[in-house]
Amino acid sequence: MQDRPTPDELLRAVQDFLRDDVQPALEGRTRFHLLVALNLLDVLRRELELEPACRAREGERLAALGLLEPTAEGPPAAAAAPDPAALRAANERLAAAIRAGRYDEGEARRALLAHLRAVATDKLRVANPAFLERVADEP
Amino acid sequence: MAAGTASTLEARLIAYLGSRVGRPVTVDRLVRIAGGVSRETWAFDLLGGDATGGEEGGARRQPLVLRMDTARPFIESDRAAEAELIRLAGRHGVPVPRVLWHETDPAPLGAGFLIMERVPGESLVSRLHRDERFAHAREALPAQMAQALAAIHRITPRADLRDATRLRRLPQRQAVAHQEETYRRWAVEPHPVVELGLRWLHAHSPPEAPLALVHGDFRMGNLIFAETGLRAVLDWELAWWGDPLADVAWVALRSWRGGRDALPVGGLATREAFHAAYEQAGGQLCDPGLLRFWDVFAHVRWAIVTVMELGGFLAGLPNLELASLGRRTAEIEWDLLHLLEREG
Repeated sequence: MQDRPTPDELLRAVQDFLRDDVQPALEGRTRFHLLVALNLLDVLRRELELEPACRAREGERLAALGLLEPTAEGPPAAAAAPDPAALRAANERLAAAIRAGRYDEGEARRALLAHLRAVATDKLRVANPAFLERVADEP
Repeated sequence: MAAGTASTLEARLIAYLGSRVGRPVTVDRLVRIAGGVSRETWAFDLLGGDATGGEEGGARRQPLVLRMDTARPFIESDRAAEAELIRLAGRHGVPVPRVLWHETDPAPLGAGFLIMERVPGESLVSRLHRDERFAHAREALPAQMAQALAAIHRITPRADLRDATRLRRLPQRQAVAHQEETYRRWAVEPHPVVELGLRWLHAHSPPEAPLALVHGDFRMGNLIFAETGLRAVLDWELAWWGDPLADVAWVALRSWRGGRDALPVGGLATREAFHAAYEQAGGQLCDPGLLRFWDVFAHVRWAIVTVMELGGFLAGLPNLELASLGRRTAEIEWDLLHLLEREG
């Protein structure tokens, strides 16, 4: 267990420094890139907080679609967040199944669209929560 | 190779421009500006470059822009074709910057490049939306954009075009196949939403339309505007010969709206109003059925652009924008899913 500051506290300190001390000295392209960097640090802070739960949910949904193999230990893959390699392999299988036409119509397509919508929502919770607020009122 | 330092580039520019105008010139205020991730864009002033300048003591100051290929360009177009295209568009009534010099040869500056006049104005959509001095521009721009787009789409591939004929010819099916090739080449992780979009496009390809010039990146950010409205259409490097409705769909993507989603075309106009202005200006018929295809195409293509730019970042291109674009794919996928849900 590491000492304080926590990762979130460290990232906040870096952001405060960049925003308060560095940004005023910059202009043009470099200033623009600093704003991009500050935003990416926001993404990182949210990812540290939210990603384990996002991975667990994606694993559950992929298992429900029959695309994620149960772990060797016995408990269903849904019990814990699967590692990135397992999720990636499941998404490779999903991509191949889409190309093979397994989700072209009917209930399979509806279930897939709901899955992909849920995954996109979790990605946006980390990458751009303001986007989700922006689209909340759309039909 | 990329330009390296500003001082190296300045020395090379002075040598190149001096040889082109036939007398010593000075390059002043050379500064790299934000201008896309596939090109390095530099602004500078040229002194002594114009024969009419310099006669009354001071050299005339020409504000110019240099657009230079990066080390690993994603876009396999060449600068000669791009220069011809910009000049051609200008002759067809599209507001464009004047191209002064271009080279495909990397010898002079280290990479192929275009040097153009710097059109005075702004390109940031946030300023357009908020600044009071652009109130008239906000009113005027949709019709001006529609007219410019219609003028671009009146350009057809003809035998008398020398370099521009080398642009890709991508009617519907080939356009989809080209996107798929790009995706397969660059994707470093699976994107099921993109796969689903590509599959839908393969299954719903509309009948082929006559080929016309497609700008390929006609959107807020690539348009220079002033108080009077549209001043110049920039960034012609993605152009192809294809179906003009590709541009009509692209301009309405969410990413170019500056947050004003009620007005999908750049946060300035409804789709309906823009389509009417475009048709009135002599553009193609905006058939809703065809536009549904091109809407899906625009989203798939934009998602693939972000995937490709992420691929560039992972391959070692040092650019923060490229890195950040990798995390924008989900926004586009969100909108693409909405379209696919509607289509069933």
